[in-house]
Amino acid sequence: MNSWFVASISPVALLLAGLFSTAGMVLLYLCWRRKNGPVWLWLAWGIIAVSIWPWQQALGFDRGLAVAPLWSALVAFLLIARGANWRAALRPAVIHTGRSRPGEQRPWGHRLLRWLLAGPLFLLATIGLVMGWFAQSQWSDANRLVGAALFLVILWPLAIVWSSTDPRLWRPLLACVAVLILSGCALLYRVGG
Amino acid sequence: MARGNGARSAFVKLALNGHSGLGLALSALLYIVVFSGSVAVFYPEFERWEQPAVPEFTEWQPGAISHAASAIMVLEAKRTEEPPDHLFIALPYTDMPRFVVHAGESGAFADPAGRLGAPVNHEWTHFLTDLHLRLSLPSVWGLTLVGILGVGMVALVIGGILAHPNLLKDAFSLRWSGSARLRLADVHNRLGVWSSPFALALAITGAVIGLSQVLGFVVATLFFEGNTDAATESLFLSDPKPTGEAAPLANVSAALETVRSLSPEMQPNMIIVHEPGTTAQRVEVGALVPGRLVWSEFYALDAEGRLLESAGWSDGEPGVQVYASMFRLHFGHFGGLSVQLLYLLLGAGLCTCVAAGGSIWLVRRRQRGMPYPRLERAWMGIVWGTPLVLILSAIGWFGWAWQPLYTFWIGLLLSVVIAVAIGDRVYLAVGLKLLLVMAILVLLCLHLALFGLDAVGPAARLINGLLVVSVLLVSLRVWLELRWIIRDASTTLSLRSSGQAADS
Repeated sequence: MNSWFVASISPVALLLAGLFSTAGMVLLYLCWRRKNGPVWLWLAWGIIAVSIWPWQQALGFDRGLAVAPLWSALVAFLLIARGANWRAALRPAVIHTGRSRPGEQRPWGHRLLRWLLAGPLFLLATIGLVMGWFAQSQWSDANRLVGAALFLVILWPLAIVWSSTDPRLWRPLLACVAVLILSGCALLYRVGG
Repeated sequence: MARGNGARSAFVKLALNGHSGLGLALSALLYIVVFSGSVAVFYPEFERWEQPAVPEFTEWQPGAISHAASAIMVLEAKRTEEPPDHLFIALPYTDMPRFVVHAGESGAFADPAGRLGAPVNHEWTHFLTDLHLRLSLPSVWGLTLVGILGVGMVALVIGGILAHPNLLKDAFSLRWSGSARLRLADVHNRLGVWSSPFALALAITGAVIGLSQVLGFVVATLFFEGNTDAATESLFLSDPKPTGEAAPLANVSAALETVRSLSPEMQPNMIIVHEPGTTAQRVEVGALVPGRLVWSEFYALDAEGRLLESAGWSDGEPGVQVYASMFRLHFGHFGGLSVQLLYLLLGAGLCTCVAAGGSIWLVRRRQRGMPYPRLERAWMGIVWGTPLVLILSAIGWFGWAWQPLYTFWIGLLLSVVIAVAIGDRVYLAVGLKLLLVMAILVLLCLHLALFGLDAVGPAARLINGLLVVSVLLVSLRVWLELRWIIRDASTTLSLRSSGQAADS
């Protein structure tokens, strides 16, 4: 289909980008199959990284950066599909029902606290942190606003992962409370009570 | 060393528990959002598919835009005395070759001369995009919920990578062994790892889009005395203050010519007149920027078509450009059909990843002797019921003008209830897929019956082609599962008959 978005694409650079990316992925696949040493592995990753440049030449700086990992993913799926034993896939899978083995159950209060911490508490803490940064930053309004949004959607998930993996819940809880207090003070100081 | 390995495996176990707990909590809603998003990549094509008989062109006659704009204002004035606050004109170009004008509640297609034709009616496509953007909830609540799901998805990707100690060792392995759990785990992990850059890009941009209103409100409350417009005016062109005094409609053709002469390499594709037909009116022209991810560049012009300012989406501050690039990156509308198809494929991969993730948890419960059979069937009802009721919502809309919103959500609820009520998991799985195949076939026949040759014309060819491919793929899966059932039944039968023979 004819598209306005492909009119500005350079076909030679696109071909080069596709070839480079595919070569890098195939080399990575061969390293994985033959258990080659780290030199080949680094070379494969290097080719994949370098192939971003022809993608950018073909599609433009930001569009090239967006398409490069998509192409690599597609090639990876094709290589995985090629290596899979599809004859075995035609056989039905079996689910064995095991004997009841009650695992270690954490108390409800502990689980609830973990969810509260990962959800509303860390949301408040990350918003506080981000707003504290917003207040102190010397950037323009537009840069601060978009920066704050990006920080929020990266910091909050990291906090969720931390609070769901740390066996000692008091550590993320303490960090959360500390951030809430500090960012609250910073905001009060900057914005005024 | 042993201690280090022990600590590492304990961390992996914790990361895995956190990943599965979070995944389980978000799974159903996340699946609906990811599935509807994968389909909604083609929303411009769905709009064309809904009304395939509308004339399509990319060139128009001089004066057509002003003519169409005046005509839609007259149409809206006949409907209500209240003047519209916006007049919207979508200009035809190769990717969307339709000329559309909107004013207030009135919307119509126009021909190359600017004469109004059929009214715009994209109810089903709007339902689809609303389902993805807001889960059909009221604006702020729905956007925020989907934004939170985006944050959850970022956490799931990061947690999933941390929980995967053999990331490179297993990078390309796909074991179709007899164990359902191993199969599911391999599918989930391979899809998850290789599509993680795609998933992160979608989740981060989706979370920013979803949480932007809440964040804008917080920033406005803390730093701009509650004025949300002031907080976000650095990102957008400001709206004029309404005066209510009547004036001749702005010269939109002159505004378009100004933008064309200013940036000949750009493709103007929309014109918005704020407060049209009043002394406050202001024209905004949106133009596609070649080779960039930014949604458009926007120019503000006065009623005579003189340039006032630009929004700087393509050449402004880094923050503005990053924000302006998020939409195309999220929707996959930056490289024509090939990128859209890539988004569909990787989106289908993400759907499979979410579905397999939920199933892994259920299979693990079963293997530990603590099965949740009703939940297993309910999960199946969601995974296969979502595409089924989405197709049914389109059939209901085309056939009987049923509101897709109600058909979808009531249908999904029924799908889960029926799935829970049906005792046999194997027959349920096949039954849902068979129903899906039949529903798609009914939709294709209905579309053909309603629109005749237009159903295979350029406006509907792509969507109907994708529906045919879906039928083939799901049929293949049904055929495989039916083969397993028949083989299983014949084995059971032969075992029974040999048992009877021994008894006699």
